[in-house]
Amino acid sequence: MRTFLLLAARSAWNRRFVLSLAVLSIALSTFLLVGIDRIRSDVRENFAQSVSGTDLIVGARTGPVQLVLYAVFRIGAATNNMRWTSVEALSADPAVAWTVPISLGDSHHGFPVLGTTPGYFEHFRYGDRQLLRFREGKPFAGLFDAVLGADVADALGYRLGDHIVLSHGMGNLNLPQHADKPFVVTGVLARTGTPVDRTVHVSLEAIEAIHLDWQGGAPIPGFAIPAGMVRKFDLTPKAVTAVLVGLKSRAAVFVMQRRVAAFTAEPLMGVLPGVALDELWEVIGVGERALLVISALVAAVSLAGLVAVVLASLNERRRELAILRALGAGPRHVLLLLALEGTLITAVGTALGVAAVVAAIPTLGPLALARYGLALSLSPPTPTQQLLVAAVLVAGWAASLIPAYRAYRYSLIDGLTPRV
Amino acid sequence: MVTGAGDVSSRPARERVLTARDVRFRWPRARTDCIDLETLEVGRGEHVFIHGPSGCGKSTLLSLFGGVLVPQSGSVRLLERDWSALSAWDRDAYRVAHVGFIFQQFNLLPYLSVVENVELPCRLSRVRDANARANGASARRQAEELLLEMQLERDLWPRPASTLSVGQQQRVAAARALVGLPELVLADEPTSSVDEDRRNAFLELLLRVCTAAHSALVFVSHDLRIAGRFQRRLELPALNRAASREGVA
Repeated sequence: MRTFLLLAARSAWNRRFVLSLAVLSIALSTFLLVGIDRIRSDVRENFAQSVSGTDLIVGARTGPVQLVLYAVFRIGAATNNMRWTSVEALSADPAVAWTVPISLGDSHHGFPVLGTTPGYFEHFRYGDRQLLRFREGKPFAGLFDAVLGADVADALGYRLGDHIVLSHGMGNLNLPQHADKPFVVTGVLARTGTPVDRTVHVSLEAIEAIHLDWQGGAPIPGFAIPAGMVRKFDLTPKAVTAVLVGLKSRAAVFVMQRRVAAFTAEPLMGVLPGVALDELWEVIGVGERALLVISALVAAVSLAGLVAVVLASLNERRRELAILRALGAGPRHVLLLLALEGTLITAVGTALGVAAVVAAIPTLGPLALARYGLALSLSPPTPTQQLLVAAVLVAGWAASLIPAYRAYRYSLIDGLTPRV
Repeated sequence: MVTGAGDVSSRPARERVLTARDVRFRWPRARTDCIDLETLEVGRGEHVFIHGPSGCGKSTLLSLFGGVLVPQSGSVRLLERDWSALSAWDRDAYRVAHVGFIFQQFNLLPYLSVVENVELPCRLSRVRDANARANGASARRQAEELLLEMQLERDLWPRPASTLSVGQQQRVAAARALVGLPELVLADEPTSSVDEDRRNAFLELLLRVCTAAHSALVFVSHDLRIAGRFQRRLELPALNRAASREGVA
């Protein structure tokens, strides 16, 4: 046995160039397979964790998906707002730990503007219950302060102290401007990979203030309140779009949801963000399915390539194996030799591929986050990824058995006097 | 002695290394026999030259003698054991224990050093290893002695076999065939690719070492000029009834 291990090692070293190609090919296949699946699961994870730590999202009665669409993804618009008194009533509920009201409707160069309270920066969580962090600056303190998401700051090249003007309404085309009341950038958030990155955050009072002299979506003709004068008015909002609610105990979430539904002052609904996000994912998850199909195709092509490489690298040993046979090595020894080599090549290749994925996530992760808002995590492999790695190992091993079986079947004479 | 059918019985059994009787061998899908041999015997330590033109079945005959091929009928016995009676696995083990091969293309493993190539049969067979130990201190020691006898200088020994000249590879192949002192050495035209001087020098070395090892040597070649150096000379076309039927002479 020692002789065969020695022979296997020496023979492999002799063919190190071809074998390293085989190992590289297997490593690349594994890298591609596991990498794509990692992206797939992380995209889903990112989506599912666009908001976390929020137990309920409460808004005027509509569909759960719609509520999540505008409250979390700032897509579309609420058909109805909820009254400020309802927000106050909700906040006063003994089961409620905190509330963060949000108000949508304005935009800045296509990026949505979110009116909220400073509590937003304390309570809003995303991903693995992470709090928002400031890349620079601080939360809004003054009335016309604005905090930008990372995408907004990067796309528009804003720095702290820059002045920005909000537009009335969502979208990008010919919107009326709140030009008389510009905002000052006081903070820029670190990137989150969530819709927060594309949001301009201002205070609820500021939203109220810029609309004091507006009515029906347009400035009231002949009536203008200068920015310096707005503080003389009551800036308590009359209505908000939705409220993010944190409970003292998660166990109370269904009780609270029923209480919201039974609220008598106005028709309201509370949705569990996770449930609604899952429901939404069902609708927009085509992309994930496309990645799944790509993964399957990559798997098929990689495994076929792997079989070809192993076959080619082992087939060239036909003569060498015949010499060994002639010198007394039994066919079972040859079978063992080839299967051993195939298993080793595949194992080393797969290990390298997995190592490459592990190395690539911290190296390329920041780039993926900066460029595409895709937060890649170095989490333990999912069952699918474990299955993929196992499939590569089994395929490589099985592929090495084909030439091993062929070598087993070769007659000695065939290898010793090779036919050209 | 190489004998015809008539004097087989007169030879004491213990002296016979190889006995072939009524051997018929046909390649798969061939219409006619390739080998049809009545009787052939090779005694212990005997040096036999088998001559024949290309294509008359010389290599096939050696493969039958070495148990690489098994005849469809008849028997080839090495040291009184019939190759046909052994399983494929046992044939492999028996072959390496008792037969040394010198191939036409030498068939050295390119990734092993010269001395590792030579000692390989001892690594694959306990019998050969034990023979080597009985005669020298170890397989490595005997390999080195054989290399010296084959006039391969020490500085060549650690080098990969593939870096050697054809003449040197030929001598390494001969040393490999003889390590562990097998009872039978089968040589398949090993001199076909070297010039006359080297050929003669090689033959001299080979015969001397075979004599010293008491190994029987069956040497096949189409080159009649070397036949005189052997104790016996056989014409395969005359021996092989299949070849004479096809008119190869």
